[in-house]
Amino acid sequence: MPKVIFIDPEGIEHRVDATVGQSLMRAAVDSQVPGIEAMCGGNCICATCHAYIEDERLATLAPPDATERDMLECTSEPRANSRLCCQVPMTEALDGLIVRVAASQH
Amino acid sequence: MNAPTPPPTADVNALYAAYDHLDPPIGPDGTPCAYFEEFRDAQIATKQPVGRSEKHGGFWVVTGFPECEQIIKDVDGFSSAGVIFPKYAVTEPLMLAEQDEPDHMRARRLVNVSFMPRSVQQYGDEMMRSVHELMDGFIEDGKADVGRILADPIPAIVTALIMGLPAEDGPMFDYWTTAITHEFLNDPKAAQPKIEQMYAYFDKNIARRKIEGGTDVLSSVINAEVDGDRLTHRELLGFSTVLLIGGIENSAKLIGSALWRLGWDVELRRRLIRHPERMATTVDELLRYYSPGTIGRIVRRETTIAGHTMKPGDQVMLALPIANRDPREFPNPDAFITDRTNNRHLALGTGLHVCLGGHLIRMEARLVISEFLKRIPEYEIDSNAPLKWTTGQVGGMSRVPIRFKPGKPRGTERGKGVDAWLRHATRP
Ligand code: HEM
Ligand code: FES
Repeated sequence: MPKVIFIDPEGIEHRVDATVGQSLMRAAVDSQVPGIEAMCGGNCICATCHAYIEDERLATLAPPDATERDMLECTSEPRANSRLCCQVPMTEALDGLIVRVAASQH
Repeated sequence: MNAPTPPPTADVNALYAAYDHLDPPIGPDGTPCAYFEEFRDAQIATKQPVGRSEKHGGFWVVTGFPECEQIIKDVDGFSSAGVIFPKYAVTEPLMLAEQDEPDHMRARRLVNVSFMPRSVQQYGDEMMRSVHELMDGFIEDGKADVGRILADPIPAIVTALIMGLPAEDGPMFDYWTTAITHEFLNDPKAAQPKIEQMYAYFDKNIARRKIEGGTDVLSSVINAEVDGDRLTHRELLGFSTVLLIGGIENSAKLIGSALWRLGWDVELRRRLIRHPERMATTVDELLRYYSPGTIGRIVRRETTIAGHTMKPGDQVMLALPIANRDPREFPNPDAFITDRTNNRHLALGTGLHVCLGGHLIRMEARLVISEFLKRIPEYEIDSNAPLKWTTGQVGGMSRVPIRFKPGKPRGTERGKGVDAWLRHATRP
């Protein structure tokens, strides 16, 4: 099972098992990673699953669609490597991916 | 010592039968919190998170956290057409809140970005100015009803601000929303002309925006387009109404309850002053503890929850203030914990209908509380003046009389919005 390393807002690392096809958000929520609120349950409307993806592998992900891009721009601290975790599906290739949870979702 | 005997099932059934979300019993502290706790205890002891109320023609009551969450997330099984119960006296359907899929998501996508954190942050300075102007109005007196003079006006002023409407119209929003959410229950005839006046007001303002444009939420929503799709004029009216109904009263009650709690809970207040970094989690704990709103659904698909079979067409009410005290979700639920972690309260809903104003109200509440405490760090509840918890589908402290050491106004010139409120709130 591929693993994702979430770094929560306090700087604590969480090594989490993720099923292929599942979103990064689901993997984080199932393991209760602090800071990923995911209020809307993965429908790309709440932007409370905002995180930063490690730069090396960012380009290997399918880019965000227009809705996600619009929302990311309006999060409290958008960066070039921002993503909504519910919009990123897990793959074998992403094993060991490092994801930093945004300091605040509001 | 013997373990406490669980209340018999008959008692929990009686609690359910008498449950009226519009009128919960108020305890000696002036709030329904003790009642919510008692109900929760009975629900947990008997393992009955669902029951039947005999009020308002009969409806299901759900008091358990996982059961409420399950229903909110099951948008196919439960329709949002029953979010308000009994229905408010508005003629246009409430946008978003009362809509089901796919109409709801279509509309939500069109308005969503305007309520994201960055989008609402731009109103922070103006919000801050209004808080200080309102405080200037009473800071020299050493006493004030901060329910009427701070908690009520701020959400109305903020709503005007984000919609690009004149701040001095704030008191009118208050007058209309009260007509829609309270008055129509007792006196529908008196409420109707006020509601028509509100529609005429928005009609005029939407028409003007269409010609003149603007940078406010109303303008961006008018111009918002997703896949070539836009909101119709009728939908824009419904959207304006839902912002008033969804945004003002809830927020006023949250802020009122917060200022009341901080008035007597000296330890909490001092802790918050010492640890401003806990403000964010404190606001979410206030939301959990004093959950202003209760929401409903109408059953669409027969569903059995906790042994009760709900049939299509049945009304269900989700008792959020009780669910938010469920020990199956919240360790130590009756304790007010400023840095509670993983606080998944339902005060702002969850899932597809999760509160559109969630980012806004969090920022607003943090700002009001922290600015208030900067100028009035020490105060107490004035026991000589009336305290009031307003009940209804939205409930919370609405009269919060306090006493404090008089301070000096900052002397900033008073804005029109604040001026209008001071006149409105000091009316007998
Ligand atoms: C303390 C303040 C507030 C509370 C407790 C609150 C509570 C809620 C709740 C529980 C829901 C979910 C309704 C459901 O699932 O049926 C909701 C939805 C909504 N809220 Fe809030 N709200 C607050 C502030 C605001 C503000 C400030 C605004 C507007 C600026 C707002 C606008 C809305 C709208 C439009 C919806 C419907 C969203 C949808 O159905 O997609 N609310 N709110
Ligand atoms: S969970 Fe709501 S946007 Fe990702």
